[in-house]
Amino acid sequence: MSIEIVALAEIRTQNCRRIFVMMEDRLGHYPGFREALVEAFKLTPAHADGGAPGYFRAASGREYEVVFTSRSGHRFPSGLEINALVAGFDAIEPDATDEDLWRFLEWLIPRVGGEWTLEALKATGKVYKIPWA
Amino acid sequence: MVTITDNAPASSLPPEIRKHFPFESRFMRVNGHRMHYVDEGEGDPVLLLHGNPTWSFLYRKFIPRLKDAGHRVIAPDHIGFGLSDRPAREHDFSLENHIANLAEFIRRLGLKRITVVCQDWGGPTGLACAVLNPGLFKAIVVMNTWAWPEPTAFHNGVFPWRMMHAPVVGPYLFQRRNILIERGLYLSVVHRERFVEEALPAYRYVMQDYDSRLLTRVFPRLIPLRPDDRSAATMGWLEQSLRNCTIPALIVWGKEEIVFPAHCAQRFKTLLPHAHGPLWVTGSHFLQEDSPQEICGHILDFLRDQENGRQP
Repeated sequence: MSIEIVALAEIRTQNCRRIFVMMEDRLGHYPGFREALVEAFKLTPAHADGGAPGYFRAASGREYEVVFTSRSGHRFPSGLEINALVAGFDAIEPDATDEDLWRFLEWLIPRVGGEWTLEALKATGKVYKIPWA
Repeated sequence: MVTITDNAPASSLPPEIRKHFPFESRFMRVNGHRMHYVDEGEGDPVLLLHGNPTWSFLYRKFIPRLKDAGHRVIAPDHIGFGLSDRPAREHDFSLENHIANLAEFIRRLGLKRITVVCQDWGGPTGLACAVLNPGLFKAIVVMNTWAWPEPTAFHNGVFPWRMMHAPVVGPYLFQRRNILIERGLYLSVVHRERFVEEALPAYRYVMQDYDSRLLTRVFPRLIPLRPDDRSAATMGWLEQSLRNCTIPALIVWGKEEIVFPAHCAQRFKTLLPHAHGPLWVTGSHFLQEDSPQEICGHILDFLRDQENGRQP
């Protein structure tokens, strides 16, 4: 599997910078996406009250923090932010980040399941010239 | 957030874009947001409304033609597009807020005897303004749009439409990869070589970074798919209101349109049985790029016939 969910203890957070790469405000737009993330990151309501972020490691070895956000009137998590964890003052390579995020989507979609298939994701990516699709 | 200072936006357009868009940029603060618009000529106003992900540049060939024919031509950029403000939060946006922004824009300009020309999201916003204040409108021209709560087959399909703006996928494709600008527009015009050379740089220019592209993914999520979706009640109200609308109307449709196929033009004809058309022109979704002169000719013929008291 190209994406590995990892615990905080396994992540190199010391001397790392967090660089915002992407945000989703409406995980509940199609609720299956929120449910898939709750299950994969083992989220409980307690996470909405100061709980730890989630983390994943891409096949490239690069690591990312997933901050789950909460909004009144919406089920938790209502959104998420993904931050790249970058050592020291190293630069971030946008195309490499985009490849990692595409692999994250490939990991996520089968977990949502039902009508949301990997084939549909890849076909969409091909139409829109995503290099890794 | 794309930051455009109050006194610099017009000159900020590079010469290769400005040569295709040689109009004075004007700005108005509407409901707290700064809205960019073009306002050229004198006469009864023609209000040109774009959709996603375009801006008033889409009407660059309409503006001089309609102006030369004796009209005041006004083309705003919806909030979140073109040279207008780009609020940074998805929750700031709703169909109702866009309608309110346009209604306030019309009120602040004091427009009367308006001909509204609308395509894509220009339809629900512009038509809503027309049915809210029918006495202000002289005519409506609908092109490749919709005004009812039921989705088309294109909008209902997982591939590609719903996948494109699904949670997490949407921010990636629309904002990090800018797919509507980099690919979607190209796939939605007929004359592609001309589009790439002349128009694509202008659409790309105003969507240069992640934050500036937020609305390109928010608008798709506002298209109702089910009766309890956001926008569904407003779209239902709009459809019902149009059934009672007697404003003279013209329907122009792209022969190659797949987002809102031919049956949508026929549905407008059912809603507005007094409408002239549909008139079919060469054009995919962004038919303004494909057949601007032919469409302008249809609009001007229609308005001339209205002035002369003739049914087209």
